[in-house]
Amino acid sequence: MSVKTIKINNKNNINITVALAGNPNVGKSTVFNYLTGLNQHTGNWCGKTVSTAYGQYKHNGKIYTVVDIPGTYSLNATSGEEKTACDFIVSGCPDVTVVIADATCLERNLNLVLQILEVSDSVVLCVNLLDEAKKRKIHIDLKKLSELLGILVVGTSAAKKSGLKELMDAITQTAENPGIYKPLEIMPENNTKNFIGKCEEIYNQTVVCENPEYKAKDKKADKILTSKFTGILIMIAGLFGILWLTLVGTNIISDFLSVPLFGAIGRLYSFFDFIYAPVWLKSLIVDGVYKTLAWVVSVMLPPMAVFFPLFTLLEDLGYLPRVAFNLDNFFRKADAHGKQALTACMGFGCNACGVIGCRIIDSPRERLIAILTNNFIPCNGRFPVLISVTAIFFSHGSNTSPGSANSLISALFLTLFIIFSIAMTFVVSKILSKTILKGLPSSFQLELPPFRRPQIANIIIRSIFDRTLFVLGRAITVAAPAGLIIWIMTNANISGANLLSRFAEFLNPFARLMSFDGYILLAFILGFPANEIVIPIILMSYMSAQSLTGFENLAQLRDILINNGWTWVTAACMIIFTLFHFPCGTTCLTIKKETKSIKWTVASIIIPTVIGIILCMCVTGIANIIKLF
Amino acid sequence: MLLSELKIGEKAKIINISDISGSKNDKSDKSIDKQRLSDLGIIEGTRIETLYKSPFGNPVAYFIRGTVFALRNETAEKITVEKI
Ligand SMILES: Nc1nc2c(ncn2[C@@H]2O[C@H](COP(=O)(O)OP(=O)(O)O)[C@@H](O)[C@H]2O)c(=O)[nH]1
Ligand SMILES: [Mg+2]
Repeated sequence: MSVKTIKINNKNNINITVALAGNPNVGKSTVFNYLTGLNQHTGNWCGKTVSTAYGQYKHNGKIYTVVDIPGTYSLNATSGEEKTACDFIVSGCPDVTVVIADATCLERNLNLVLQILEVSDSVVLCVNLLDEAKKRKIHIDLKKLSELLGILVVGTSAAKKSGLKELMDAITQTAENPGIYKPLEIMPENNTKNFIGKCEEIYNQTVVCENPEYKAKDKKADKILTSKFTGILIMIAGLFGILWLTLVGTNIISDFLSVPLFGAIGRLYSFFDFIYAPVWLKSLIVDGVYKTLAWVVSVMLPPMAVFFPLFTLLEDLGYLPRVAFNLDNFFRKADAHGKQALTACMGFGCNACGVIGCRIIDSPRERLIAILTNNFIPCNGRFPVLISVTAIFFSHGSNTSPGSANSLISALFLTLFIIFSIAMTFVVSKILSKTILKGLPSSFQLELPPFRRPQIANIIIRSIFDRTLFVLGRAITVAAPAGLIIWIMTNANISGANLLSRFAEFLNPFARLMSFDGYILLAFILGFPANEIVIPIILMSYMSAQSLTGFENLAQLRDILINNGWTWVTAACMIIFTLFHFPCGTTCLTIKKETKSIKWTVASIIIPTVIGIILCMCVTGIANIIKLF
Repeated sequence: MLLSELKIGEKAKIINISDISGSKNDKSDKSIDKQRLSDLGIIEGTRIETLYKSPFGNPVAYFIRGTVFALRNETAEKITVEKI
C-alpha cells in the first residue's frame, strides 16, 4: 500500500537494474520483498500490484536496483496495468530481466518467458512456488529447461525463503556476462504473437505431472465456496464474522488505549503550567490539537488493528477472487466489469487504494464505473462511525463485550449496512451504464488461483506496519491541523458567538432536513481531508460548550450525543450519510490522477453526495410522517 | 457444440474461437479478445474442462493448462468445442 520508491542512480556504473517480470500472482512481490527488505503488497489474487516499485540490494559488492512490475500474461497488452509492465520490459531496458514463473502451471508461464527472450538477451528464469509443485507431485527438470531455453534457471520457494541466494548468484552471473547465454530462436506462431505450441513442447520435455487433474481438495473447497446456497451464505457469514470480531476487538483495544491517552491530559496541563506557557497556548495545544489526536487514535486505531489482519488473511488465502466470481452476476447485470468486485473489496481498506486498483480493469468505460462507485464501499476510516453509532443506537445499551447479544445485534446491523452499500454500488453502476457511461460489458477472464496457506507472521507484520500505521499516520497528520482549526473556531468570537456555532447555525436549516444539526454537517465538511476525524469533530464541537474531557467508553459517548438531541433518526441518517457522501481528499486527488479529468472527479463527488442527501431527506420525511400518527 | 453448452465435469477440445468484438462503444479493440484468450493459452486445440458454476450460473470456472479461469457465458458462447 505504501510504495516506497528509490530513485535509480544511473550515474553510478556499478548499479545494475533488475526487472521482476512474470504472470500475475506468481510471487514477484514476495521475491522483491525478500531481495530488498521492503514491504510491497502481496496476496493471493491477480492484480494487487498495479504500479512499479523500486528497491535495492547489495550482492558481491555491487548494488542492484530491483523493479517490481505488475503481472502480465503476455507482452501483447494494450492497456491497463499490464501495459505498464510490457513497456518497462520492452523499452525500460533493464540490465537483467528475471522472469518469475509458477511451477504449478509452468506451461502457461512459458509463453511470457519466450516472448521476453525475443526482446531481451539477459534473462534469468526463476521457477517459483516449488513447494506447492512438490505438494502436487509435479516434477520439473530445471537443468533440461535451462538447456532448452539457453538461459540460467533457478528454482525457488519465495515464501519459504529458499533458493533466493541462488537467484542472486544467477542474476550476477547473467549481468556480468551479457550475451553469454544464447537463448534459442523461435518464431511466434501464425500471427498470434504467442508461442503456445512451443510452450507445450518444452513443457512436455521438462515437466512430469503425476496427476494432471485439478486438485481434488481445491475443487471441493471451491464447490462449497461458490455454490448457489453455501457460496452466498458463507460470504455473508464471513462478512458478519469479520464485522463482529472487529466490533468486539475494538471494544477491548479501545479500553486499553483511551485510559492512558486521556490520562495524559492532566499531565500535559501541568507541564504547560510548569513552563509558564500562556493559557491560550496551553488550551490550543492540549484542548485543540492533543485531544483531537487522542480521539482519532482511540477511536480509529482499534477497528483497523482488527480489521486489517483479518482482511489480509482472506487475501492471502485466495478468497477474494471467489468473491468476485460469486458476485459477477450482479456486475454483469449492471453492465460492469467482473473485476470491479476486487476493486470494491480493496475499497474496504482504503478507497484511494481501491481507485488505483481499478487499473486492473482494461476497458475504459468499466474502469470509470469502478472508480466512480468505489466510494460507495465504506473504507476503514468510516468504520469507527458506523461501529459506534450502530452500537449506541441500534442495539440496546452500549455494552459490546464479547459474547453479549448486543455485539451480535450490532454486527448484524453493520452487515446489513454493508450489504446495502454493496447493493447501491450495483444500482449506481447500472444507472451509469445506462446514462453517462453507456455501453455493454466487455468480456473478461478471471483467474481463480489455488488456495495457499496464509503466512500468519507476515500478515500481522504487514497489516500492522504497512496498513494500520500508514493509515493512522495519515489520519494524524490531518487530525492535528483540524484540531487546531476547530479550537480557533470555537475560541474566535464574532459578536458574542463563536465562529463554530456561527457556521453551524448557518448550516442548521439545511441540516435539519437531513435530521442533522449544523455541527454534524460541518464535521462532514471539515472531515473532507480524512473521514476519520468526523466523529472527533462532532464531539469537540459538542464539548466546547461543556467542559467534558475524557472518553472512557461508548456509554459516555452515548450520553454526549443524546444530550445534544440525537435520536435514532439522526443515527440512521448519520449512517446513511457516512456511507454515501463525497470521497475524502486523498481519494479525490487519486481519482483526479487516475482519470486525468476534472469532470469525472467532480462527478465522483456529486453522485454519492446527492444520493446521500436524498436518502437522508427521505428517512427524515418518513420519520416525520410516522410521528404524526 | 459451444463451450457454454458443456456440462460440469465434462472435458473438451477447442476447435474454433470466433472473434469476440467488445462493446459497441469500445471501438478501440475489436478482436482483442481472441488475442487475450491466446495470451492465456486458450487457442484452437487446447483441452478444457468445465469445473463449476458460480451461484447464479454465469460465469463458469474452467480448468485450462493447469489453471482455473472464470469466463462469462457471453465469452464461452463464442468458443466451439468438441467433447472428448
Ligand atoms: N507456498 C508458496 N506461496 C508463495 C510463494 N511465493 C509466493 N507465495 C504466495 O503467493 C501469493 C502471491 O504472491 P505475490 O508476491 O503477491 O505475487 P505477485 O502477484 O507475482 O507479486 C502470496 O499469497 C504469497 O504469499 C512460494 O514460493 N510458496
Ligand atoms: Mg505483486
